[in-house]
Amino acid sequence: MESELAWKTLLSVTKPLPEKGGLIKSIITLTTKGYLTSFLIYYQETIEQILRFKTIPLLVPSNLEQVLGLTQVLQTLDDCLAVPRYVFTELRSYQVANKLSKSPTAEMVLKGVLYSEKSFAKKLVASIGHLIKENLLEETQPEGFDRLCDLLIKLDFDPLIQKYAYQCYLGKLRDRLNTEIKGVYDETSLSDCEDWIKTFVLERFAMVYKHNETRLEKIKVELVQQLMSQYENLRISELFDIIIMYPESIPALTDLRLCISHSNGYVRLAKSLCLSFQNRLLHQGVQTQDILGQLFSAIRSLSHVDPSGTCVSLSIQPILNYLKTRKDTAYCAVENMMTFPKQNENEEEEIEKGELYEELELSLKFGSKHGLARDSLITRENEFDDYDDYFSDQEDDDEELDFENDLEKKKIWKPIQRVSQLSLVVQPTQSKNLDLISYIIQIYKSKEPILSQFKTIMANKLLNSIAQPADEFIQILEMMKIRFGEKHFKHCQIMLKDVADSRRFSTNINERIKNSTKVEDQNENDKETETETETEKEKEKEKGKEMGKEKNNDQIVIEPLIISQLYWPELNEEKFVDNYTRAGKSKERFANEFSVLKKPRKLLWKHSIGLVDLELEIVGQETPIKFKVNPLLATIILLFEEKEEWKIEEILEKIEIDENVLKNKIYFWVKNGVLRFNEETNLVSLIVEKDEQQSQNSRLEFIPEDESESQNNATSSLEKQQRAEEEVHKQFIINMLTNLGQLAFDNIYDMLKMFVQDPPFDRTKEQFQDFLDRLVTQDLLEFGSGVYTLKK
Amino acid sequence: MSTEKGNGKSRLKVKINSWKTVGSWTWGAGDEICAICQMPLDGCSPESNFPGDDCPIVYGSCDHPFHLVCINKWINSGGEATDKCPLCRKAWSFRED
Repeated sequence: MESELAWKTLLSVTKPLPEKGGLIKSIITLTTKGYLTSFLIYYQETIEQILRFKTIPLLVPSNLEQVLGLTQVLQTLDDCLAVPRYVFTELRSYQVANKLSKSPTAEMVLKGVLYSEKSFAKKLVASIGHLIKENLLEETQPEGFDRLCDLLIKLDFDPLIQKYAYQCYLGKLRDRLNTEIKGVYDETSLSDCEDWIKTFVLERFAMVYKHNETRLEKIKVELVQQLMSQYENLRISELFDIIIMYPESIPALTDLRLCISHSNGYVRLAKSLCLSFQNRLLHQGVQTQDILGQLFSAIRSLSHVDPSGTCVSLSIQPILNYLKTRKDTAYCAVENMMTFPKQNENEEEEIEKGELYEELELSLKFGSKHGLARDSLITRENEFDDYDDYFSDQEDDDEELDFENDLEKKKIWKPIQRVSQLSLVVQPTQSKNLDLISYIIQIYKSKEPILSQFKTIMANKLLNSIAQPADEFIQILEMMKIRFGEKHFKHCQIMLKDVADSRRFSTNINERIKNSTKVEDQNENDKETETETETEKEKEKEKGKEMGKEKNNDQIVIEPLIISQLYWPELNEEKFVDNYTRAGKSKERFANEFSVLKKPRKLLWKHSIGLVDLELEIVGQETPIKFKVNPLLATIILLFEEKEEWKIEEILEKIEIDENVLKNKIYFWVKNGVLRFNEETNLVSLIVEKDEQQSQNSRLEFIPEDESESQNNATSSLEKQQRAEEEVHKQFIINMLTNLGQLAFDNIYDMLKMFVQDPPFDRTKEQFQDFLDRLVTQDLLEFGSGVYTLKK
Repeated sequence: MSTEKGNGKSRLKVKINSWKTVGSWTWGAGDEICAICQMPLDGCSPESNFPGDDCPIVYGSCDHPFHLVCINKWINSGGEATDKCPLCRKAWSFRED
């Protein structure tokens, strides 16, 4: 109690003691005497009040020794934190802060505390940090904050302020990047953040550093730099998705471009992007056209970020290398190149033009110089004429600049100019120079695969649309010529001319046939007038009127595509010769007319290629059945106009064809409920009864009517039918793959769905997968990289 | 019954809306090549852009076929044997068909 009293007395002194430092001395003495506990009790109650109003203003240590002593005292007190807590809670009030900042005492004490005890310092620092953070983010400027800062600076806490302030603002920035900006690519956000730093944050710092402009500038620069690098990191990590979103993501790319131009982090960007390409793009599950799409977006996006092209060339190499291993790359690229905008007939949606098609359009618009120059660099082929074109063009430019026409000019080392010209090639602002096609060429280091693929695809498209105008191809070909140079397209040019000529010839020839038939009719009619009865003649005439063409519908108007075979890819024919049906005769007649008109040229038919649009009318049935079938199928059904029942052998007499092929074709009509095939008697007959026809439409009903026949037989014929269908499918697949090289599962499935319409292709994907697997095990097909190819 | 069906007039009528097919033309000179330009006769000489009408073939009286452009070039080249067939060295004249 005595001691408590002593403390009380001591500490309740309100006036400064006459002897300087006397109070401190007394405190130290009391503590060392062991009156600590009692002091603590008292301290708990009064410390805050005393510190605020009495002690601190009174404590004026005069030397370092005193400071350390005082510190020890405070330290020994378990609750020494009360000091900073008091100091810093009170600091927020302007007056206290003001007082403290004026009082050398507080400063000294705190310094002493900090220097002597690390754990205390840590806690103090933490509480300062907390205080700063709390204050810095408030919308309105906290009152007295500047005072506090003054004090802290006096206390040498300057680095600490800065550290905490940075932490606090950068944390805020990070939050903002992660919540508001992450995943949003279609608006710029960088300038917003920058504005925030320049106004809000710098205002706060201005409170701390007052008029220290250089300091403020430094802080600003540092913070903006931090912002940029954080933004850059975020966007680099998201780059793959940003590329997917291209061109909607251009704002984000513009921001990234600004950041990376400061940091020069192109290599880092490329590395990270390569990695995400490897992880997300370059594996078997991704279809080639999707890889190409991402490649194109990547090239465009990266050129936006880095106009110099460094990023592009560093990042896309893995894609190019990978694409080289995919067999359908050239095919997909050319398909893309030939995808022009048009309304899809079946679906209402519009087909967007391919990226490479756009490039072609651009070369049409701007000429090809840049593209060609790049190509020849890439391919290192002997494209002298391209070079020549290029240089002569350069020379013209020089003349425009009006250099003196001296001999020196001839000695200018051209390749340097070329290179400087090249650096323009990838200016993103001049999109005409950003040439995606040259990257495709880069895959192969040669134009050849693209050009030959183009030829094949064009041939196929022309063959698939026989007798259709080929205007769109003419346009594409023109663009291709500008882009790749005219000399590469002789074949294509000839193919297109064949198409145009064919249309002209067939109109011409069909006209001739029509006219001569009329004449013949008249002659015949004249001859036969005497023998023929009136009624018959009238009938004939009626028929003629009905058909509006010839005396009867014997003559079929043939619309052929007459090709210069040497310049077309090899066609896949099924050999058959038909000189018997009216189709065969019509073709013969057409060929005769051709050789008359075009003597001595002759026409050789590729009978099995093409498409016949026909309607079957069966007497007693009202609605005709429409089919679009290949000419061989049409030829077979034409036979049944003559009589309703044929033996296989009879058919083989009329049409030269392989027996198995014939049977396969007959199964087509069987499946469609038009014909019936009896395997025992080898008899094929027309189905005329409506009911039967309907029942035949369902495949399961294809069981011989006679139930007495063994079940085995029925299943075997079912199996046979299925096998026959599969044979058809197989043939389709082989043809497709021969023409197109390789196809993915979905492509094959969709194409069969589209083309095998008449025995409606009704396999489920699973069934069809089984079937394809079987073909693979039979060593007919190969499966790899997600595509099927023919096994060589 | 079947014989009746087989011989009787068929109840099937096939209406052909369109018959699209493919044919290829030839000069009928086989797979031979033009001995001058070494291109197939059904193809075209390097000078001409299109085969067919734009690059017809002709036969000499010796029955050797050439592209018309090629043989004309030969004849007009002013060399020594230009009045002879390049293949058999018989005097050249166009075969009349």
